[in-house]
Amino acid sequence: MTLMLLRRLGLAIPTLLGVSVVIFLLMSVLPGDPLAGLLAQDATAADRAALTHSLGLDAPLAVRYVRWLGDVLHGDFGYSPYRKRDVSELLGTAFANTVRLAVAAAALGIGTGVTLGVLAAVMRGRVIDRLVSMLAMTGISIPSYWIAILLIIIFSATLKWLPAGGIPSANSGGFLDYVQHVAMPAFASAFVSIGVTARMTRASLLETYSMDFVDLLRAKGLRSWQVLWHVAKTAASPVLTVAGLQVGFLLGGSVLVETIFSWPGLGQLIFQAIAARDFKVLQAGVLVVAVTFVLMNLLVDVLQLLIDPRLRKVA
Amino acid sequence: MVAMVQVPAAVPATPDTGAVAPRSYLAEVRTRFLHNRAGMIAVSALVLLAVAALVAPLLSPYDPLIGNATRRLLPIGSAGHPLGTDEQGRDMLTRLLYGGRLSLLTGMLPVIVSTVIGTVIGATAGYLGGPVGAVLMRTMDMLYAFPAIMLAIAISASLGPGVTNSVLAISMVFIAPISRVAEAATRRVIFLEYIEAARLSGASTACILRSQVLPNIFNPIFVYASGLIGLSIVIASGLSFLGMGARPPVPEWGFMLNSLRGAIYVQPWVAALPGFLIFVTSMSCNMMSDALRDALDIKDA
Amino acid sequence: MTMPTGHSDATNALTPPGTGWRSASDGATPSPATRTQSPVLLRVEGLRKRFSVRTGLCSKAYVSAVDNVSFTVEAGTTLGIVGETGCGKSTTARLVLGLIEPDAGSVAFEGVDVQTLTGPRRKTVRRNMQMVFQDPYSALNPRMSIGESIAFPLRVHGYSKAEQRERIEILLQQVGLHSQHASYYPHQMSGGQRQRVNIARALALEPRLVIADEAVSALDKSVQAQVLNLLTDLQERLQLTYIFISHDLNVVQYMSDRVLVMYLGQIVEHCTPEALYAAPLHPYTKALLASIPDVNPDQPPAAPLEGELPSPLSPPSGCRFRTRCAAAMPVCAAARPPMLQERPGHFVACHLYGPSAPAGTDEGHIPLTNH
Repeated sequence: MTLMLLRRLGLAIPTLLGVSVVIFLLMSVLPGDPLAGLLAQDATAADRAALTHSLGLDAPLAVRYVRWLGDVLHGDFGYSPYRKRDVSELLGTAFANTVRLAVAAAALGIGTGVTLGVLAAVMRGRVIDRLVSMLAMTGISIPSYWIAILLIIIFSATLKWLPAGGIPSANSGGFLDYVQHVAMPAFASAFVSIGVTARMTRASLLETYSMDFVDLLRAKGLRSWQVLWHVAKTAASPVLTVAGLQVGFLLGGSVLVETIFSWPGLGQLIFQAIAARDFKVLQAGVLVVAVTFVLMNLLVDVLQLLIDPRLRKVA
Repeated sequence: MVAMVQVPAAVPATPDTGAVAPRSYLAEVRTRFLHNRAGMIAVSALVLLAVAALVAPLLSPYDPLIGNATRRLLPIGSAGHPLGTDEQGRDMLTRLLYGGRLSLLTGMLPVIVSTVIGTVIGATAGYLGGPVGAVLMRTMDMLYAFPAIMLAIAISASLGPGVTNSVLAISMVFIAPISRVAEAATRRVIFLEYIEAARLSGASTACILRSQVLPNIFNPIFVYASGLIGLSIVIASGLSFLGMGARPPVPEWGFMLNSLRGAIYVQPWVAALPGFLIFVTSMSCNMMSDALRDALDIKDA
Repeated sequence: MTMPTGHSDATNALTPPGTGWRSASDGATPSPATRTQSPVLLRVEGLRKRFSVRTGLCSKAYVSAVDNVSFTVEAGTTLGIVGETGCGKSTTARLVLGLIEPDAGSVAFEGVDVQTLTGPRRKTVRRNMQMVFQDPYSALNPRMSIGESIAFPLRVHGYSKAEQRERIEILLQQVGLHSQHASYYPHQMSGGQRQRVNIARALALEPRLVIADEAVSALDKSVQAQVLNLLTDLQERLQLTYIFISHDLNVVQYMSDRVLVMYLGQIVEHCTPEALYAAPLHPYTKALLASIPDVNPDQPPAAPLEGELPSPLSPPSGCRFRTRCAAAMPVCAAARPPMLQERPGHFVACHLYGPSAPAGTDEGHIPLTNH
């Protein structure tokens, strides 16, 4: 099995490299002037040429890629002329904020999703099952940005219970402040996860329940909840995959929710960078998101190998 | 000698004449789908939306692009404006109807394009296997390694704003997952004996892929692709919401949702309307896809 | 090998078809005169195939699936190939048909080495060799009606629509189905009917050689008999040559004019079915026969098969059967036994015969104790 683990880890490396190539290529065809904002208004052609050369922008694509990759691996993401800061600094803060939101959303989404899915599977065919299925269907269909707006309408504009945006203040906030600020964005992001996770949990449980070994357990006299425990272990595998994917999406798909709630995370950083044509930030931001996603998938695969013996090939 | 059954002289079994006229596979699928209530509701809703969007000029006298500044942000149920007006005084119902065209289009086109391309890539990779297949699928893996929305945004940012570009961006995003589905389905099929029989007949690889493999991988690809339509609409509207898709003044639901954001304190329910339509369309597509999957899931045994 | 007789009523019901005047108890081979009448349709020499298996991060191992297999099949006869699962029978069939490329060896059809052919010439020659597959269900495309399935080879070879329709009619009739069946789908037919469809499709291009790879193994016994009879009937009517592959000795004996016994990719014995039953030579064959419940008390019991099939990744050295053979000798581990003609028309690859035979061994009498 160590072999399989190594192989899986090994596969991640070309994927990461490939991801970096894709990002680099995408950014290199971005319309707009990479020098804008770096030159003074009265810059001459010679100035432009000099700056281009000093930034290494006149080198062939492959060379620029290798240089960029080298820098990134050393933690140097460049400098943002618009924010007047090092990109890595910006990334650090933004990523931390996104993680705070993603963790809350993941806990909410996956936790609720699994619970609802179990409920629906156990009460199969009854009203609860139908309701959960409806809810799950709604969850996967609803646009997160619309839910966000609805939440703001209900809880901020109308009821005035929750603030419409921003992150909890760093020092004075406290837990209540944190909950107030994170509740809506987390829920808006989590709604989709609830739907997906609930559906998968329900489907996986039902499929496992129909297997022969469950009849055997019942024949042996095990009670319902004991049977559920055994079933859960087998049914956990696909749910784990989906949950991992959800976390990945939460980390990467946050642009919309963060923009609406003015949550200064990675998504908002990337979006602002697009508008401002801040290439360095854009490149770095997308790279961080993609790498996190790949690593998340890797983690899920490794966990799968560890918990599901069926996946281990016999030598 | 050997224990052997004494068999009668060679007379083949008499065929059963008077057999029931066999129902073809497609007919069975169609019947099952028609009986699925949720699916039929969903299809009706979609048809309704599509038709309404198409005949929008007939349904409303207003101009979707020009508004009356004195009649801004009227609530739902106002006289002459059953769904209110937007922040520029344009009739909401009209805008929503016209907006449906773009939204539906940007939802369906990427799925169609990516299904065709993704199926070709996946089926070829699955059938040929070996180094060719590996290269194809590893390339797809690289695209698959991004969260969908992020990739759509990144590609859209590279290509620039506009509807065509967002369609292109979303198509590219969907090619990878579809090719995976196609490859997996192809690999399930190619080891079956009827493929060997087809090779024995002397057919070329292209011929086998087209006539033997394709009809058998069609189902899972079709179901998966139909599930993507809803997502495509949501992503396309999301791109417009961010200002990367449809440009003003052309009405498009996502864009409208964004431009009405300022109005949520004044006319919250009007502001929420475009999103509601995105939701309804997406939900109908997903329900239809579920119903399709159930209808196609006939055990052929 | 004899030519098949024209009428089945000329033979005793217990006598396998195609043997004409020979009675069941006569283990004698046909006279040389008769043998030279039938031209050799297929000549296979030295076929070898191994598959690579990944056993570690950087290491590969090879499974020797078919090892130095040679045989001939004369026109109009049936060659039976029998052996356990995994002995290489199906791989051999696919090598002959060109579905898999051999690592070494030649396949000559009507004297022409098929591997040297390319393009349209290859297509033309290859249509003469067809196969009836084992699983009646997965051998048919579930999305195509059986008429379309049968017509597919015709389409590929450029038959017109009218010609296709005509041919399908004829074929369906030949296999005992009704022309109405052409619009049926595989899931609407029974196993036996589907196998008839498979046979019809195999015959579509009017092949001369048909390989039946476990063609009846997936069918119920009663249906098996019907399909077997159909096959023999078709052989007579259409002058077909068969290679009949099965793990079921009874069926092979019933259908074949000559039998090959295979073990772990090699041929261990090659003789007529009568000789196989009356006087088997190879210990493996004896053990196979012993595993069939037999009513005849006069048949001397052979030593039963011990142990499990060795891993094909590392087959035993020398004689591959030696690890399960009650009569194994030191020479068996050292050298691979050559295929020798121990009796007229009866070949065996075993150190108990020929030059390395232990002294004082009677022909065909194997000591029952281990050495």
